[in-house]
Amino acid sequence: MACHPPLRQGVLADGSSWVDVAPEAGVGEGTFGPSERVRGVDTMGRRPEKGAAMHAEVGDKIVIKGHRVGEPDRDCLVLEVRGPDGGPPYRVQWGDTGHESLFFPGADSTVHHYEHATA
Amino acid sequence: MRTIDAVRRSGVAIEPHRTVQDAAAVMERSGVGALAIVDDERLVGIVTDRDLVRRALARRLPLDARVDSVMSTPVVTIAADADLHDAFALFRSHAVRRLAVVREDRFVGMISVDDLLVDVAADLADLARPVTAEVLFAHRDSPVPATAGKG
Repeated sequence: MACHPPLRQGVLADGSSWVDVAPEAGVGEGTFGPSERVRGVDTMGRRPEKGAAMHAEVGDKIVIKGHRVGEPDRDCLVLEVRGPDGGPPYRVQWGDTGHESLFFPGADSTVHHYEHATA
Repeated sequence: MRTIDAVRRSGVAIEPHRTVQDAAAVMERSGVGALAIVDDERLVGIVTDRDLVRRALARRLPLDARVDSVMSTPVVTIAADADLHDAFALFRSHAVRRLAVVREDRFVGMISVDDLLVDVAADLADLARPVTAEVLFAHRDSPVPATAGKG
């Protein structure tokens, strides 16, 4: 099952556009440019402590690590933050099919923040 | 250990008015085998890939049929702050492979038998490692202190 290509730029539901400020970094490659703020992992790449709160903003990308050997990472785009203070749940869009769902992050997911281009 | 701390995988949910085709597509994209069905974040059911096969495909249900027509309800749930041993007890007493984790009736995640098995296997491996070393290699006794027996 192939994961869709990493998101580089796009348009949000409110009409504003966003761009990936670390275009050299691909989903699942494990390397991200210094300009990208990655929430959910510290500088050593370790997972947050269990129970640590996740925070996301509209336009952020959530990456879910593959659970089995050879299984690709998956990612979705945050369309709406339902919880208080950027917390879950999130309404997300999955890949290029545009299918939406509510997302409740677990220990397998991290939030990747991208600077949004001003219209 | 709290149940919510043992949840390894992210939970995915859709609303009851969505179609079975939507449910299948979201499962495929998100990589989960079960979706929570939530109405205003209140858990109303659960639908698995097996439900889609048995209750939709096998019965030639139209692709635009509502997903709540094939969901399982009521759902076996466990409170997010409940002790993990309570989850083991629920799996023991119910013929389910997944439990919906809730906080104040709101869905917050899903925990599966598979997740717990992985944790238990890892714990067993940690326990077995020193025992295995003792069986395979010569037992290393601590040296007797030089001062022993003196005085």
